[in-house]
Amino acid sequence: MSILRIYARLAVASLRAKMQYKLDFLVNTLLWGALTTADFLMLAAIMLRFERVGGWDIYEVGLLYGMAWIATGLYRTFASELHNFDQYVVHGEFDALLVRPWPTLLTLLGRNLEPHRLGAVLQGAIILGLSARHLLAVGTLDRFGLVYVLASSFFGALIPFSLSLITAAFAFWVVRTGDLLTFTIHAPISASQYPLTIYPRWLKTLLLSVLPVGFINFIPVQYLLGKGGGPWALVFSPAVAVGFTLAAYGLWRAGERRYQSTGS
Amino acid sequence: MGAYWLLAKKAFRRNMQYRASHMVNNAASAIFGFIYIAVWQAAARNAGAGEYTAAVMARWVAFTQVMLWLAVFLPHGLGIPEAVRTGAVSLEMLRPVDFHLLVISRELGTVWYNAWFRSLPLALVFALAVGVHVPQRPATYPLLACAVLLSVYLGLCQQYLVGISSFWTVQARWAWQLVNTCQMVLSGFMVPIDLLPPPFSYLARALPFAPLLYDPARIYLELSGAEALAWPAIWAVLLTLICRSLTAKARRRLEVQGG
Repeated sequence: MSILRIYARLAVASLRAKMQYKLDFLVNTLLWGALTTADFLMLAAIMLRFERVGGWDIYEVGLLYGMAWIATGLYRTFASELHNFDQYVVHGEFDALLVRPWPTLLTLLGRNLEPHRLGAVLQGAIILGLSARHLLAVGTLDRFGLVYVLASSFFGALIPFSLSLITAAFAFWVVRTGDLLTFTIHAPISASQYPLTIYPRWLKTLLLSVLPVGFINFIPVQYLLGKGGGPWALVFSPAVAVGFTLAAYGLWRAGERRYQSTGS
Repeated sequence: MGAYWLLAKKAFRRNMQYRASHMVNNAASAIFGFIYIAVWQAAARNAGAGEYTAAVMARWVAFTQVMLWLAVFLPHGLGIPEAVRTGAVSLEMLRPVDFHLLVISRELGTVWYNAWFRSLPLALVFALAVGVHVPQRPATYPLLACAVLLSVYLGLCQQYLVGISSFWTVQARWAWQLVNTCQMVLSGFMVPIDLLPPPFSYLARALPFAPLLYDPARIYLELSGAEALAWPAIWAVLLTLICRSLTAKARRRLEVQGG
């Protein structure tokens, strides 16, 4: 059985378990979608008052916002176990993943999917759709641009996923990484909802190197909206996403080899 | 009285064990602060929104980031949902002390810890980065002290309500999510509530979240005087009544889960 089929089986089993409570799923999805819209409310309050932030209007920033939330929502849906991975190391439960004859990451991801996190994807998609409609109408964005933006939102999920994978891998060395997540995921993703040009140089550099969330949305969108950069941005961004994922997986494998279980 | 004091002291000591890991949190908090300050600098560069100029907003964001650790970033439900799940709550309710006061005073130890090991370092970082606003009017200092105390108390009561909800539902997690989101959007954190779009600005004023950050921030920056204490004081009375009546109901409702 190929590796992907194993994953599909595990994932479907997890989803089936979740779908035993259909009303729960529906309510949770809507609730999560509504709660995560809070970020947009604050963004909109600022944009409606000042019209432009760093030369970007509300529709252009809406595009960044939508892409960031689609990517993050997908990551949270499919990698929820990774998000709280340090518990496995704290309690020594990682042993159970090591005994399977296939990659540990596969079992881990397949264990638990959180479909209600798609609520965040949905709200991101709605904001993105409304923004894109306006930008298409005024001609700032063309059809190719829209297709690219959609593709990049999905592809971009690799970046929060890799950041999470790296954070999880740290758990093999430092055990508890819950606090680290704020630093590696929550703060960078919040930052990526605004054009990176507004940040001080050190922060911008950070968001384009060690925590490369700028490649989810800002770098390609900046070029697509004619605000700077070159066509290279469209090729470079997915390349960074893939490269970063491979590097993150390398670190995970290194950490895995270092793992010691708990107990005396 | 002695028992409550002892509980607070123990909570302080327990937190001291995790100083190093909390420093990581502080770094993340500082970065969040810098992100919001940068957004405001870019937005309000030419003209601010009335009294909220770019310079005022830099201090606003710094102040609210520091306050978050005193009034908002508290243990989810003050540990009550966990105690309900394990059944330990039945023992806590048996004790000859007031449950509401017991939980609140226990967490005051955490707040005191946060003040020294989270708020203070953060305040120093922001002071170096964007400067400090030193209130000019002497009257501001006692007003600010009252506003901060009320904010801490209201924050604790709101978490207490999240916790007490676990007597009725096993999904207290969602109660926390809801309260937490309100505490972010409707408290004046990042965006002063009078700058929110109309329905939300009125909603924010009518709910108990604005006294957590908005009112203290306005007093600190001397945009408001003693009148800014009215809403926090009203809510302190209301939330106390709500907390106490729900505690009485929860006591009768108490059931230990499991065999």
